Amino acid sequence: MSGLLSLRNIGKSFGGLSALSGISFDVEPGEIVGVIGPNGAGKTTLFNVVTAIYPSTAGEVVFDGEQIGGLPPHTITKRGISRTFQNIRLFSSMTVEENVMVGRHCRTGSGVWRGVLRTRGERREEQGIRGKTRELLDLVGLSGSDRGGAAGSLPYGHQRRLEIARALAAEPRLLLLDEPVAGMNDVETQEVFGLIKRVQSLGVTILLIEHDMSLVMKACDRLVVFNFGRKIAEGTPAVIRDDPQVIEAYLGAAGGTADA
Amino acid sequence: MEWLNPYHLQVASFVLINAILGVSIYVTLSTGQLSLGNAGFMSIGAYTAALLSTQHQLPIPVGILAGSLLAGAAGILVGIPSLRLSGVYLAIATLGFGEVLRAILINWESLTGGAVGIPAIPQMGRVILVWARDRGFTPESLGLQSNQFISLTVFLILLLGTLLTVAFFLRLSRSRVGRAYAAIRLDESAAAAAGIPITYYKVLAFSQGALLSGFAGALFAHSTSFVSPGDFTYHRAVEILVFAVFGGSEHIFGPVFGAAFLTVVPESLRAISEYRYILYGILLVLIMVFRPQGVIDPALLRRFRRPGKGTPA
Amino acid sequence: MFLEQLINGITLGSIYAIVALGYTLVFGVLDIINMAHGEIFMIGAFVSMLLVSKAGAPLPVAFLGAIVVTAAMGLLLERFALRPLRGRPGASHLASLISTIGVSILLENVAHKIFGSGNHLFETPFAEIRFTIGPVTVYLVQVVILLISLLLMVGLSLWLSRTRAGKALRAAAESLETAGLLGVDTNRMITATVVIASAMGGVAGVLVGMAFNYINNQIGLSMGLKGLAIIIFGGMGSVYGAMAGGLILGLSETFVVAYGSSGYRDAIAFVAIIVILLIKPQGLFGQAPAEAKR
Repeated sequence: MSGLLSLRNIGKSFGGLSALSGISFDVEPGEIVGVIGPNGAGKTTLFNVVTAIYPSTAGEVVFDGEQIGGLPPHTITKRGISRTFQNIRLFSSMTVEENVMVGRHCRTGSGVWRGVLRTRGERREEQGIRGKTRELLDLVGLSGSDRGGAAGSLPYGHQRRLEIARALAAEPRLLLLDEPVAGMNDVETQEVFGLIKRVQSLGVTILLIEHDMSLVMKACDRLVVFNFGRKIAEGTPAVIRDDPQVIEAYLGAAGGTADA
Repeated sequence: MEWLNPYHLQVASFVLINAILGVSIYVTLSTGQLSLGNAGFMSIGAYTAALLSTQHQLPIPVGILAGSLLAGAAGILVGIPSLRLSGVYLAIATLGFGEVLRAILINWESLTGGAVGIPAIPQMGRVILVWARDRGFTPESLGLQSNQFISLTVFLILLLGTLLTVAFFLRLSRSRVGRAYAAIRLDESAAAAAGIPITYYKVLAFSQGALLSGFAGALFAHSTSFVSPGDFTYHRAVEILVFAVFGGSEHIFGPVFGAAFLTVVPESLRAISEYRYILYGILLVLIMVFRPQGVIDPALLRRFRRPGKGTPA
Repeated sequence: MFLEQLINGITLGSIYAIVALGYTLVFGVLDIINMAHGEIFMIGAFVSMLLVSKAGAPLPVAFLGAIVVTAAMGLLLERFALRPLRGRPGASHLASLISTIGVSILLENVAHKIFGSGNHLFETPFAEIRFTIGPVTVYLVQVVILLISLLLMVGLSLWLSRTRAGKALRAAAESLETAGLLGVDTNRMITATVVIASAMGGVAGVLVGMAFNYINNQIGLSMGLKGLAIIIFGGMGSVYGAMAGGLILGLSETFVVAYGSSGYRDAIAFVAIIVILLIKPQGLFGQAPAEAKR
């Protein structure tokens, strides 16, 4: 039947160009599902459809039993889906802490008057936000000395982790990670692997786009393989690794292992 | 107190009104939106206050409140359709709105007095002077002449209004709503993905700006005692823009500084005053090319706060 | 009477269309609104007025003068107020908007200083010549305006669809980046676009002088605003939208003045903006917004 996230026959066209067609698969609660495939296969497009950056042109996205197709992005986040971006979209001139605090927005409620008058309730809420922010920065491994600095001045690897912290601040049930270890070396990748596993242990379901096959094979419970906007295979990492169609897709697109 | 020169107080009063106007456009800019219609919202506040006090003899504070709220409501009406699309639409739509409003002000003579405007609006200082005199108080007891008292009173009222405005929005910028505004300005899509309802906050900021413009307009009406469509032209809208763009669009002290600097300098340098708008135009281009954030930016302010330490990033 | 108003409306509308085309070209390629376009149009009008009324030059010379000067203004605008802002991260759309607003204020007030705020006579040499066809009286001036406008619009359309340079411009309008990758010199393309758009504004300035017989330094502002209204109404970046929108506005204004109240003539353009933003925000011929530039 349907899991936490159920994609049913999703199609997406831009003008005449078909970026996705007939995408159907489920993500069960607690899983880490990897979405892999050559560049341009439609993986990020799928994330964009799920998070309503643009609507699908066909099919349905069902989250927790409800169709979320026409909802605006912020509502989808409030429902429990958070994401990171392929090309990191932090609020670079805000501090590290402020970035995560922004992520708390949909779980808090102080409006204009409570904010200006600094009511007791608002101050308590702000304290709560700061506390949760500290927790999350600890979780992703961003140390205290970094936290007051501008997000844009962090080293690349730390920026990716900050983006994950911001996404987690919204208390998602489903986290969409778009190439979280792109451009990282083996040590950093291993750290992010640990982070992903920690996040899973907190009860968050994860959908992961990645090219780094070592990470994908280790971290994911299941894999979905895309090519040319279609799903060409689905299964456990062991099965996928030996699937001839998958091998051909990767070899056909000039070699398959870790490339950013 | 002979040094209390009514002319200086008048200039200072204009600085304060301009500061509020500068903040009004700053508030919408803080969400990445450019509104060119604040002269229009200002006129709503001014005419409402003027009409309520001259036609209906309502007390000045009522007119000011009503003018501000009406302008804010107009802001919501204008903002909602325009904000569904990109920021450029808002700039143009608000520009058009200001012009339509001015056309209405000029043509609806029975209501607005047409191009001639509304004269003899109760002046705040004079009203208070009369009220004080009725209670046996005379300005001479403070060593002031009547006109000094009047100018001083107006200045103090405007000062209060400006301080409240700045304090309000300074606090707001440090709160949850302020963070939402900043996030929207920096990256709308990422802000939406982080759970912030974009349209709601953009309309909110826009109507706050409209309300402030209306507030400034009502104060203007009760300071100068006379309003006409010519006070609310596109030139006024551009002037307000220059206050915020030149003064600084990333911190609330920016438009305050911009308003002060650009109001006082033309007054003291008469020669410049003639070429005022030409200079505004050149300033806008120069600022955009060389220092887009304006004169006062967070980095500069940090340098003032801790002169020894270096600035973080 | 009705037919004559119709002709008036079409004449006015075609001038509006040309101004709107200038906006639309720049928006299509650069993704920005050139707020100084209206003032450049005004300069075109003044240059031609000086040549025709003060120097007694023939009309073609006036056109040439207007085109040369406005093209030069476009060049300067692009080089000093737009190019330095390109390639900078951050809120770049607002930056160009504000920068061009600065240029427009500068131009408007320089013109005010030089020419004052009153009306200046624009004497078209053949202003009196008219034809009577049945119940209708048509002025030669109107015919000339219509012909020139038509020529310009058809010429532009053909240039965009048939010539290599025109296609390059359309490619740049679709995606500057891709066009660059395909070998289009994007800097030259951008400069050419602004220059062409400005020159069109210059031509429109001459036509306005011919149509109304007088000009003043406020026409830049009012024409500028109407041009903006037209492209919002017709769809930003759409050539057909600019032409259709211009025509519709010209006709609406003419008929409202003829049969309604002349005081609100200038407000029609903005009512049109409000209506279209509520019904079809992307404009008559515009494309759906959310997908446009992702």
